[in-house]
Amino acid sequence: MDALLIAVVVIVIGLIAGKVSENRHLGSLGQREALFKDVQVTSLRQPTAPAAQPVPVLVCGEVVIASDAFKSWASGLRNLFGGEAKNFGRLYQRARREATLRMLAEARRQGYDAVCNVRHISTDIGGNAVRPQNKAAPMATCLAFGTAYKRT
Amino acid sequence: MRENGFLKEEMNMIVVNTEYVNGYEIVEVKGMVQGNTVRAKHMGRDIAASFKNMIGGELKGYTELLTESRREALSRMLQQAQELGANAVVNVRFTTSAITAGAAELMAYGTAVTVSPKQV
Repeated sequence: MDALLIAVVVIVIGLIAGKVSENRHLGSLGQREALFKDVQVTSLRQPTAPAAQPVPVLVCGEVVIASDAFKSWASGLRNLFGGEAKNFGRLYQRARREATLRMLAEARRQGYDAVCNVRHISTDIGGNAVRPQNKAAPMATCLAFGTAYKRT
Repeated sequence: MRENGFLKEEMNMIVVNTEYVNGYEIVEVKGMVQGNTVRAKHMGRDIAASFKNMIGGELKGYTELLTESRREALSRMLQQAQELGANAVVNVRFTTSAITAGAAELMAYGTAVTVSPKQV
């Protein structure tokens, strides 16, 4: 009975705190993406109209975002019914946007104003090092990398 | 002396994601080079992560771990390129794989080449 009560409390905390944290993060992402509107970001394999100097360079950005207790619990229900796991989709979406923003910040810090050949790699490093069987808590990782160059 | 995880010689190398470097032409292709690192999670960070796993949000400890891994993998790749006598690495790609629950491998690979500035 006690264990059930604690579990319910944890899940409710997860629901509330998770929602707050997600909304705050989405707001922050929107704000910062507006700051980078002048940077041209493409997945094209060659730079468009590049300047000769400075030499293009590889830039990377990465982030690890944890999912909250409610999402982890609800995904267990999803396993019963199937269908699109929108919660985790949003989690990876946030991780991807955050990693891309960090990559753009690094490009701007080094004095470039465009990034081409952008690729994203996502993994889940959830699972406990101490108790490997506990895989219920996904941690979304995204590594974004591309070639930064200066436009003429 | 390592600065930002890279040796001085490595920092002079040109590293790009694209197939060629703008303003430079490829003189010689040396071969494929790679660098990888396998990192296991740290118990201290894991305990902090358990709390974050309840409320959600970014795991700064693990992000730093990933940044270190990325620098280490790139550094090893550049070391291999240096041994081949190259001065640039093109077409760099990253790939990850989970080894066990709790350890992940990050690998960077690319093609080591010798480039020289294009004569206009």
